[in-house]
Amino acid sequence: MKRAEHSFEIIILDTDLASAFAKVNAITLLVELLHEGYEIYITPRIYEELQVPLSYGYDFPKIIFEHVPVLNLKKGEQEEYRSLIREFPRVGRGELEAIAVCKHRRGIFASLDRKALDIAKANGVPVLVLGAILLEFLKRGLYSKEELEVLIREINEKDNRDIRMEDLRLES
Amino acid sequence: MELKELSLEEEIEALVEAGRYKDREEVLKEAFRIYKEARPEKKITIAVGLYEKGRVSLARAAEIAGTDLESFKEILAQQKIKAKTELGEEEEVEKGRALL
Repeated sequence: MKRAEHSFEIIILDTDLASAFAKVNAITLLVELLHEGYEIYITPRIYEELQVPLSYGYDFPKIIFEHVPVLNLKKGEQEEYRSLIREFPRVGRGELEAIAVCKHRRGIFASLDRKALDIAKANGVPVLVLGAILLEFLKRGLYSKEELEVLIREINEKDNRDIRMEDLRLES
Repeated sequence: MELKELSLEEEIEALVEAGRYKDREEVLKEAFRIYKEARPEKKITIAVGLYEKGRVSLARAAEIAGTDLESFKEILAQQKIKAKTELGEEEEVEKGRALL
């Protein structure tokens, strides 16, 4: 399926979203969905954040590293990142680094975190929310409704979350 | 004879008047920094409290706690607190789907 006409070319996955999908072995389907028109990346700081659980025995970061390359920051983006750290002390470094890159390269920021999404939007960065991803999984037949229920249940169990299927607007 | 202890305010005032600190705020900032260093477990209490109230993101809370994201999620789980997950407002969902 061809994506809508617009000038965005990359999507940066935040640590939380990449981790949640990797833990339930769904990162390949996520990448399959997003790759229809975009390059998918993580940033160096997100890579570092994912290295930590790897160092104490979790395997899930490996599959992220296998499918999602790291996008290094250019000079202007590094300056933007440092500026964002000073301006927005309520969100994490990985989130801010991703937002800095998206801001400079017309990227889309994908995250599970309300605070991080709001700061991306405040900086003019378009966001990709979980609801959109899950509904597109359904629409494109990557998951059936029943499989989606299982996916959500598994994410909740393995990532200490409380996502509710009924909060998805399935009729849309 | 005066047995009453010196008040905290008097002691802070003495430090400021001695020229060691610019003002009361600076004394309190340093005191709190030293307190967190001496009692690192309090950093977790602070981080969990800020996260629960929605004042900071999950990743920022982990940074404040001095842990990585996964360890912080485990701390939340031990305290029976779920990691908040944003499905998105209706408009965000629609805009997101239009991008895909």
